[in-house]
Parts: sequence; structure tokens; C-alpha cells
Amino acid sequence: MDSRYNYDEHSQTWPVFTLSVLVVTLIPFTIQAVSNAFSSTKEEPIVGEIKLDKVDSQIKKFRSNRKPSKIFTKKNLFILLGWLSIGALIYHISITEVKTQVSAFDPYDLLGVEYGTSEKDIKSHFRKLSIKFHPDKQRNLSEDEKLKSEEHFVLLTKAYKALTEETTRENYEKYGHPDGPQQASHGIALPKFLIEGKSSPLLLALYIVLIGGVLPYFVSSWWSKTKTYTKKGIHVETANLFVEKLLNHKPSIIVRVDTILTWLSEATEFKILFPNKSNEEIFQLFQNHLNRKTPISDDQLKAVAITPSLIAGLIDFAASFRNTEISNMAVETLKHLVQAVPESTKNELLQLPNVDQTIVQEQKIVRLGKLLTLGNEEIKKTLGIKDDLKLKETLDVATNIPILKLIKAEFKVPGEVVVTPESTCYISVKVVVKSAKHHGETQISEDKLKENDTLETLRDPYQIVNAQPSLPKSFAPFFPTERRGGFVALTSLQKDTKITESPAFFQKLSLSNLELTQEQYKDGSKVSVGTFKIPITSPTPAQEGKYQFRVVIKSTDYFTQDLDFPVIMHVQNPPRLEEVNYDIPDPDEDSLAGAVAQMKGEKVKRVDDDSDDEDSEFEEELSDFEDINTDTEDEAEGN
Amino acid sequence: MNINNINIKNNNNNTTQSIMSLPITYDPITKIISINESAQNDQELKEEIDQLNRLSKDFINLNSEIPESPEPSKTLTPLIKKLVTSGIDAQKRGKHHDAIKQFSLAIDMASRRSRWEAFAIQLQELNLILMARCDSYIMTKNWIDAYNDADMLLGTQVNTPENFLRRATAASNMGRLTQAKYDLERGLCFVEDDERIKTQLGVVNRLIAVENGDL
Repeated sequence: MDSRYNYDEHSQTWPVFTLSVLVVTLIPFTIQAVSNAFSSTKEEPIVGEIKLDKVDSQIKKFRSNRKPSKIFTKKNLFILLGWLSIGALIYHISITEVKTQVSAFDPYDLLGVEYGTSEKDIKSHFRKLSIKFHPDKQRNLSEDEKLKSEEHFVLLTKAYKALTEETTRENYEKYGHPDGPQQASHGIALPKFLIEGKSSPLLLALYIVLIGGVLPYFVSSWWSKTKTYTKKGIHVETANLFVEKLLNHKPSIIVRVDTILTWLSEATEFKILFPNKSNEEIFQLFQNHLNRKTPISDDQLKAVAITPSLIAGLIDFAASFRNTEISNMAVETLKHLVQAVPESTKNELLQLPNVDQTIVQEQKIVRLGKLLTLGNEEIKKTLGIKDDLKLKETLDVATNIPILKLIKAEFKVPGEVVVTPESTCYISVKVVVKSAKHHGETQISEDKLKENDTLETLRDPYQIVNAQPSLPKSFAPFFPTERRGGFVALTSLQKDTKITESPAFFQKLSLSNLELTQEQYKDGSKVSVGTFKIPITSPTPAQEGKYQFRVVIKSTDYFTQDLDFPVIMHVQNPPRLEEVNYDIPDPDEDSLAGAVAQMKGEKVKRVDDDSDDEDSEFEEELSDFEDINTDTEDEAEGN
Repeated sequence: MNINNINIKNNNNNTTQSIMSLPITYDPITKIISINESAQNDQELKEEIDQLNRLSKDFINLNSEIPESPEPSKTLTPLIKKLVTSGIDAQKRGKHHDAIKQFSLAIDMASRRSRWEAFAIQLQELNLILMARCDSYIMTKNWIDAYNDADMLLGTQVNTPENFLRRATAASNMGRLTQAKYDLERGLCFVEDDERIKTQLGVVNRLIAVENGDL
């Protein structure tokens, strides 16, 4: 070992070092954990949440198993152990005595004089000391003592020289030692027993395991994870499968919920989850779920639980293949899975709790809106409900399912009055959330649709969308996990019916309108207006004209009448600003401004002077002259 | 000549390979390619092989070394025309069932045209017959068939407002009101201010409101 390095022999430095590292890492973690713990307890009830508890006990168990425990997490364990070791370290530091090694060279101290003593005094003091400590004067000493006294005397001489002699003094001032630069010594904050004691093979083994084993393991697992899963979190093989399905899809084949489910059942995620199950068996699990078959198997819950992420991936791919039909049907499939309702025309009624499927299928009524125009007895008959309490539950859900009503949709370019060519635009959609119990039109004043153009909104036009409150948890008692759904917007071109934009997901919208009565809804003063903004990635066309788009906004979790409307992108050049007349009089012909104006071809005021012919001739000559002048100038410019 | 494995480019979705050996057999006597037992369930392969057989049959029936010009056949064209005119006559007299029969026959006849005849002309002819047949289906309230015909028409010819009207009428009568609404709105994009589409859209919107209980 190089003598320049020394280990922490007295265990003084390493605890402090370890302590500071621990404190630096632990404090942010702890602050985060504490703030999380406090924020989650203060969760406010969201307006429009359906609180009815209809969840099957088995699904409840599955949900609670999936939810990670809040207290016993790895992170909390790390924080706990961290603080414990901090405590131990502080205790250790407090009981170890700090032994400072005085190695600094202090000539004043060595000579035993006070700092700032004059050179003369130092000289006389040194003389006294040299008489006392000179090795020749010391007698009756052992060899050892002799050596020591010699060393001491050398030091004394050095100290004396450092204070009196020019060069030594310089050395002392520069390097802190009269002999010049000293060997630097570095401390390593590792206890000596770890390196040079019996445990040094242990440390070596630890190094080997860390660098040869743990590090490559983490890097490779991270790498394989990024390689096997796409950004959207679906397996690469599944992504391949979806692309293949979309490539080979024939437009003549009608896509149904079952088609999508068959595609999903072939996903690699299920092969990993259930190595022994065939695609057909997984498809059967989906079917059992849609038909609400009992008893519910654990496999079924597991399989259905991962479908939303797979479908999100499929929608993404379908949209990039510009396939409207498949994208639409994929969202529909998600609704069916979330509500556990098989494909039929009565989906809106079947998603309600307590309904009798067979009775509902026989009825003429299809929509929630129509259902809620009926009296209670008729509703009971339509849905096959006998109990009044159960009817109340059902109606509670029916009236709290948000339905979108389109108020206004238009293309917008931030900061412009019209849609200008070759600019970035978005579709601004103003909607009113209504309950199925609300009927007819609502009066929305223009002020509610207006957005103020401020510098902030120009910088981020989507601010207003994100400022809306989050949507509550969806009512999906049969779905294996808790759902917080939303809305997805698909934008397509009317000309070829193909999707132009990647789907936009929205999870923020105020549902406060659900609590309004029919009168309040009609009156409209208390109705709040929601905003969706669909970004358009490609710039607007360079040519002026009208371009027709279709926007479909679907709820991902509920069966409702989805929004489906045409929007026209009317590209036109911005209106020209009218030329402002500041009423500045034309400059005089003979002034400098006049000359400039004349050269620009602007009007000038002729100077009226009553000059006689001679003068005018002269002027003519002058003007000729000027003409020549300007000609040459022009030529010069031309050159 | 007996080829057991023919390599052709294939976009079969069960394989990722673009080139593969297909399970097909060629019979030199009948000059027909048939699919082996193992792949009888492959619908896509069946479709493609059928088309190939059809084309080779057409060539064999031609009895000439070089195929004819892509002009429409001189024997089939007048026959089809005759069927169509008699169909339109029946339509005018209100005998829609007869008309449908005539039109269907005409379509059948048109599909028998040789494969090398100019497709644009064939398509135009087919569209004309389909439009007429679709109208007769609508008159007889056969909504499903009317919808299918209109669907086919929209697939080949979008800028005709009547086709949007046809499909929307069929869809709204089949109870697919949202589909009808979308068709009419799309129709308006191609032909702004088409009064018939606008009135029909009004009707459909009203029906939707009734279904929702708003009216």
C-alpha cells in the first residue's frame, strides 16, 4: 500500500461519510413518502362519482390483492432501515473520541514563543533552547533517547530558520513547511479492518459480485425490458401481431367485438401469463366475462385485467394504420369488457345494475334517455326490477352516467381569428355534460364558450383542458380492477373516412351538470361547459379552401350516445389590416423627405412659386440635370 | 407437367414469410389447380385459387393464342343492356320485384365478362345496375339488401349524393340511426347544400331525439 494513502484507522471518518450519503438520499425519499401519505388521506369526493357498491366479493378480493399495500412497501422498508442506520451512526460518532493527528508544522509552537514575536527575541530564545537541547549537551541518554533528542533539535533548527532565514521562510509560507512541498496524504473513508483485516477477501468477493453479477443483471434486465415491451407497455410480439392483423385486414370483412377479442386472445401477454392455455381458452375467458358467468375463475379476472392496455395499444396501431373501423370497434370492445356486457343493441340498459337481461332484450327501448322519460312502474317493467330499493340503485347509476352534448366544434389556430394556411391548429370542442334525465335543449350563453387569448393560453392552448377536474372512478362492478376511464377522440378525414390523427385521450372533465334538475338544465345559467382540444399534428394545408373532418368522441367505459360530428377546416388567409391614414401631409417637393418620396413614387406637394419663364426654364434644365443624375445613379446601382 | 409445390407470393396472415410453398395441386387434364386436403379451411387461399382457375378457364375458352383486346365483349354487352332496360321498364310500372329479378340477372351476366376486359367500364356498368336495383329494394322495403347495394356503391363511387341518401335511408329504417346520420353528414361534405340530404338529415335527427326521449 502506498504510504500516501491511509485508511480510517480509528473509524473516525467513515461513519461521517456514510452518514452524509445516507442523509442526502433519505431526506428526499422521506419527504415524498410523508407528503404522499398526507395527500392520499385528503382525497376529496369527486362530483358525479357513482358510489354504489355492487362489486362481487371475489372481484373485491382480486382488487385488494392487486392493490399494493401502502405501508409495507420496499420503499418504506428502505426508509426505515436508512433512518435506523443513521441513528446507529450518530451514536457511534458520539461515542468515539476524536483524535486529531497534529502533523502540521508550527514553528512558533515548536520554539515555544508567541505568534508575532520579533526576530530579535526569537534569536535570543533559540540560543537559550539550543544550549538546552543540543544533542552534544545531552548526556547520560540511551541510544533511543539520543535519536529522539537529535530529531527534536533538527526540528527546532528548522523552526528557527523558518522564522529568520529568507529561503526557508519562503518555503514555509508557500507550502507550510520549511523544507518545501511535502508528500500529500489522502484519507480513505473506509475502516481499515475491511481492507487489511481478515475480511478483505470478503470485500473482494463483494466487489466481484457487484461488478460481475449484480450490475450486469440489472443492466441486462432493463435492456431486455425495453426490448420486449413497447413504449405503450405491450409486448413486442403482441405489437407484431396487431400490425400483422391490420396489414392483412380486408376492408370487406366486418369487424365485430368478437373479432377484436380473437385478436386479443392471441397476445403474447397471455402466453406468458397462462403457458398452458390455448388461444381459444383465453377467448372463452373473455366470453365468460362478457356473459357474467359464475363462478368467476381467477384466470378470467387476471386475463380481463390486462385487456385495457392491450386495447389501448391496438387503438394506437389501428390509428396509425388510419383504420377508422377497427379503432372504433376496439373502443367498443373496451366498453363491453369494462361493463361485462355482450354485444347487442341494448348495451345502454344492460350496463345498469339489477337489470334482467332477458326482459331488457324483449323491450323496444334502447336508450337511457328514453328510459328515464317513463314512470317508475314502467321502468321496473322494462328492466325487470321488482324491488323499489333496487330500482333506486339502478336509477342512481342511470342518472349519473355522463352523456356528452356537442355545443360547438371548430378548428382554431392559436392567436388567429381564422384558420391560416400552413399553421399548427387544434380542434376546439365545447361540450355540455348531461345526465340521461336531462331532455331537450339547453341555453348556453356565448360568454361560456369564449376563451380569452392571453399570452399564457397562446403558449399552451391546452391549459384550459388540463385545468378541468379529473373524472371520477367509473361504475364497473364486474371489471377486475378499479377503472378511471375517460373519453377518446378519433379524428378522420371525410373524403376517405380514414383516421388522420393519433387518438386523443381525455380524463379531465367536470361532471357538475349531473346534479342539475331538468329546469336548471333547460335554463342553462348553471350549466358548465367542458372543453376538449384535439391537437392536429400536421400543419394546415397551404391552399385556401374547405377541408372536411369527422370527429368521434367515445366514452371508454360507458355505453352512451357517443359524439360523432363533422367539422370543417376552412383555411383562409388572415384578413388584411386596413391601411391606416395618419393624415400626414405630403412632403414638400423641395424638401429631403419630398425627394425620398419622389424616388419611391409617392405624391409630393408641388412648391408654388411665382417664378417667371426663365426660372422655369432653369428648373427644367435642373430637372433634366437631375434626371441625368438619377439615371447614372440607377446604372451605378444596377452595376 | 406436374407441379406439387408452386412458389407464389402470398399475403396469407398465418405466416410471416412472403414466399412459401402452397399446399396446392395442378391437374394437367382439367387444367385446374386444387387445394390439398390439409388446407381446405383456408378461405383466403381458396378465394385466390378460384380466381386463378377462373382466369385460366377464360383463356382456354378463348381458343386463341393471344387474348382479345380489353374492349367489352360484343355478345354480352347488348344482352346486359336489354336486361337493364326491361328492369327499368318494370320499375317505372311499379313492378319492383320483377325489376329486382332483371337487375340481378344483369349483374350476374356482367360478372361473367372476361377478366381482361377494361375494369373501369365494367365498374361503371355495375354501378348503374346497382343503383337501379338498390332503389327497387328501397321501394320494396328490403332494407338489408338495399343497404348492401348502397354500401357497395359508396365503396366504388363516393361523390354521388344519391348513394349517401340510399345507404342512410336503408340504415335509418334498419334502426341504425347514428350510421344514417353519419352518412348524411358525410354526403353533405361532398355536395354542400343538397336539399334532399338536408331534409333527410332533419328526419334522422328527429328520430334520434325521439329514441333518446328528447321529443
